[in-house]
Amino acid sequence: MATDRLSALTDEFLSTHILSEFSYRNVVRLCLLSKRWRFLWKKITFLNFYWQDFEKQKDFEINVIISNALFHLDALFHLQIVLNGPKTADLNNWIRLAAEKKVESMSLQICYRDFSMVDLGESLFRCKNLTVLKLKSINLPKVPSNFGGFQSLKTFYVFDNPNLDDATLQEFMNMCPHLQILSIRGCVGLKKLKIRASNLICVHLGFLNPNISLQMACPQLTQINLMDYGYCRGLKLLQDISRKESVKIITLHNYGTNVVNPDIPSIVVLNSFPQLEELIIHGHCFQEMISYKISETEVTEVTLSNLKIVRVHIGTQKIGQAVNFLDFLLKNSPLCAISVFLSKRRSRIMLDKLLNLEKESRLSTAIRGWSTESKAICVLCGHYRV
Amino acid sequence: MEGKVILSSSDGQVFEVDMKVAMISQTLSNMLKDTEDTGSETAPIKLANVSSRIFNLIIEYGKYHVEAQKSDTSEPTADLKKRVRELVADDKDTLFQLMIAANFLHIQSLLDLSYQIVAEDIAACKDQQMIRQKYNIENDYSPEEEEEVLKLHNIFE
Repeated sequence: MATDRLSALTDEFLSTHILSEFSYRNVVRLCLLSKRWRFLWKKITFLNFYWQDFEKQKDFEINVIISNALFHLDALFHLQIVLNGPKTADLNNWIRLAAEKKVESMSLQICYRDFSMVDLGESLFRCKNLTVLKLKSINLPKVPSNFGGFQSLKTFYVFDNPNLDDATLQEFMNMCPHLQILSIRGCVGLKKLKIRASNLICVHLGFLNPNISLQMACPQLTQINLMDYGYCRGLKLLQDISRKESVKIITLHNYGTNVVNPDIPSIVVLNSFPQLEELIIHGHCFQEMISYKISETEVTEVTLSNLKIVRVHIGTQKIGQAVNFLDFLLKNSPLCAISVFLSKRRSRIMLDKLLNLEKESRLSTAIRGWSTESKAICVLCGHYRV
Repeated sequence: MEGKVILSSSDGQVFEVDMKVAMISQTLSNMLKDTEDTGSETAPIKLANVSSRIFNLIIEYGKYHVEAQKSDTSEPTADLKKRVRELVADDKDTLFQLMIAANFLHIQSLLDLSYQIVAEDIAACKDQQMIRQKYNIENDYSPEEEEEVLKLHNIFE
C-alpha cells in the first residue's frame, strides 16, 4: 500500500502552510480524516470565513461557529471574514475574541441584507498587535480618548464606505503613526483628504469624489497609485502633492471615459517628480496622455532624468501616436525598458514600430519577452528588471 | 553570475546546471557565494537528499522560473503553478518529494506553489472519503469516535 505522505508532515508544516489557504469549513472537514487530523484545526493561525460556507446557516448559527472557532484556537495570526447577506453579525464579539489571541492581520467585509452598514465598536482598539487592517463596507468606530494608537499597524485599507467623512478618517489616521501602505477606495463622502504620515511609502486612491482635494505631506512616499481618476484629474491630484522628491513609481488607472483637458501640461507635472523611475499608465489615461500635444516650450524643460521603466496598456489608441509618445520619452530620459500590453490584432504593427524605435535607441537588446496570452500580447523591450 | 555549476544527486548522477537556474535555490546560492569568496576549485556539489528524478524536475522548474522573471506576463504565479502541475503529472508521491526537495534547497517559490497545489487538490475533493483515498490516509477512528467527530462538525451540513 502506498504511504500516507500527507499525514507524515509535521503539524507546523500542515497548519501554517497547507491549511492556511483553506476556508474554515474545509479545515473542519479534515478533522474527519483520522485521529492524526482531529485536533489539528486548533493549530491553524489563519482563519478564513467566507459567505459561501454559510449558505444554509441561520445568523445565530454563523455567530456560534465563528465565536467557537475563535475561542478554541491556540493562537491567531490572520482573521478574514467575508459575509454577504446576514441580518445581523456579532462582529464586535469576534473582534474581542481575536484581540485576546493577539491577532496581527484582519480583513473584514460584511454586507447586510438590507444594505445598511455594519458598525465597528471599540473592540477594535483592543487589537494592539495589528499590522494589517482591511475594512470593506464597515463603519469606522470613534476613537476612545485614552487609546494609545495602533503602534504596529503598517497597512490600512478602507473600501466601499460612502459614510466615511473627513473628520472620522483623520482621527483614525492619527492613531496609526507607523503606517506604510494606505488604500482608500469607494469612499465618496470624503471631500478633503489630508494625509500626514511620516512613514507612508505607498498610497492607493480610487473611486473617490471627483472633486476631492488632496493634501499630502509624506516625506517617504515612493509609490502613488490612482485608480479611476482619468488622466486630467489624476494629474491635478499629483500636482497637489507637496513633497514630490521621494516619489519613484506612479500608476494611473482609468476604467471610465474622460474628457481631454488640454490645459494640463502633462509632461510638466511628471517632470516635477525628479526621482520618478517607473510610470504605469492603463486604459483611457494613456489615450489622453498621447493625444495631448507636447508643446515646444515643454520639451526644453523636460528632465525626466531617472525614468527607467514605462508600462502602458494600449486599447483603442492610435498606434502611431503611442509610438511617438514612447519615442519622445526615449529621447528625453534614460528609459531602458518599455512594456506594452496590446490587443492581438494590433500587435504586429506595434511590434514592427517598436523594433524600429529600438534601432535608434539604447533599447538595443532584442525583444526579450514575447508571451502570448488569450487576450493580449505583451511586448517587452530592453533590459527589463535589471 | 554567469557560467555553469556542477551538481550531483543522491544516486550519483552528475548535472551541469546554468548558474542562473541554480541561484533560485537559497541553499545553493549561499554555497556558491562561499566557494566564490575562497576562490577554491568547485568540485561537484552533492545533494544528498535529492534523487536524480526529482532533481530533473527542479531544473525544469528553475528554467521556467528564470523565464517568468524575464517576461512580463500578467499572471506569473498562475502560469508557474500550471507548469508545476504539468511537471508532477498529478502524482502525489512526486509532488511530496518535490516539496521536500524544495524545502531542502530553500526554493521558496516552488515550496509555496506546491503547498497551494496540495491545498487546492484537497479542497477540490468532494468528501473526506475521497481525500483519504487520494492521499492513502487510513481511517483509524472507531465507529463511536467517528460518530462523535461527525456530530461536532455537522453544523456545516
